[in-house]
Amino acid sequence: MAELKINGNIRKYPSDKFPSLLSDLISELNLDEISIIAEVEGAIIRKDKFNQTYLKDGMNVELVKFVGGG
Amino acid sequence: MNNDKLIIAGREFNSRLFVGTGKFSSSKIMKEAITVSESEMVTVALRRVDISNPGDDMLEKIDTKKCQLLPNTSGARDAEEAIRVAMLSREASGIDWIKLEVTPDPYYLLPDPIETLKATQKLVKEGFIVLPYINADPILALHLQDAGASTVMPLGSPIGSNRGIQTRANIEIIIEQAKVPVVVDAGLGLPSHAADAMEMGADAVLVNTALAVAGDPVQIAKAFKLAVQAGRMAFLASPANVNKYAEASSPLTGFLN
Repeated sequence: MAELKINGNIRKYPSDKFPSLLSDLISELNLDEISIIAEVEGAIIRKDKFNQTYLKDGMNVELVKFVGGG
Repeated sequence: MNNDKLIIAGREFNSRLFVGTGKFSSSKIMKEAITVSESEMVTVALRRVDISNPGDDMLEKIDTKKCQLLPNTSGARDAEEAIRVAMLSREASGIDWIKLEVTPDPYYLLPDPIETLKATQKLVKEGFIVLPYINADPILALHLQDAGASTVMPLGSPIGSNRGIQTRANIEIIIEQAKVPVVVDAGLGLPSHAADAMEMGADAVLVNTALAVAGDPVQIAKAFKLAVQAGRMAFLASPANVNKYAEASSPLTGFLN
């Protein structure tokens, strides 16, 4: 088993299902890459680097987006 | 009046009404309210994605050709958190405008002046166009202006309280002293509150809750638009002075006696 901490919550994966790239994680979660902003281990990842950003067991991932606000 | 443009950081705005996008019952109503308001400055917030229910893309709902998108740092409790949100927001949107909100107190959501100044200094150096939300503190407004803030946004009363302008004396001083546009933000619950701010000489106002939670957000958006225009028009017309005693409107000669 391997795990990622996504938005503060632990998500566990069998080793063969672990998303190796950030872009794999985003499609596994059925999220729209265009509207997502990502931080991995505290570093902002540019959208054009989503498919070059490797994930490892235990990493901290934040996925955020714009919502209504004043 | 037609040439009376608001200019912030070199960008011209035809409307002096800024609109927030929170708390609307549907994105359809929000979109209609923004359209009717004729606002050209629209705020959004940044939040964690709910992975089980990601929802729609907010930015698709806003006409970004017409409106300047103004991401906020709401939820930030200190300068560090606000800077992080600003950086993420710029990365996400390519927009370097930021409505800086640093509100450590969850009950009144009053802005922290020290952290707001620190964050402004840093974000201006990083190339952001910073619009800080502040308490109505004239000295702080000058410090922020010196630090490179593009506007100051003093509160009328606490966010979402709909209590109107309760900080009048200090907002008057801010308007008198500021060289950057003054945007009265927070607490404006009625069109008359917005007209009041504009009559005082504010350069613009920002409303969100007053539209979003009204029974008819679209109709009140129109009322706010008209109130802001009326208030501005009145300010430019140099209104009559306030007097203690009566001054007859009719001639005081030629009485029938």
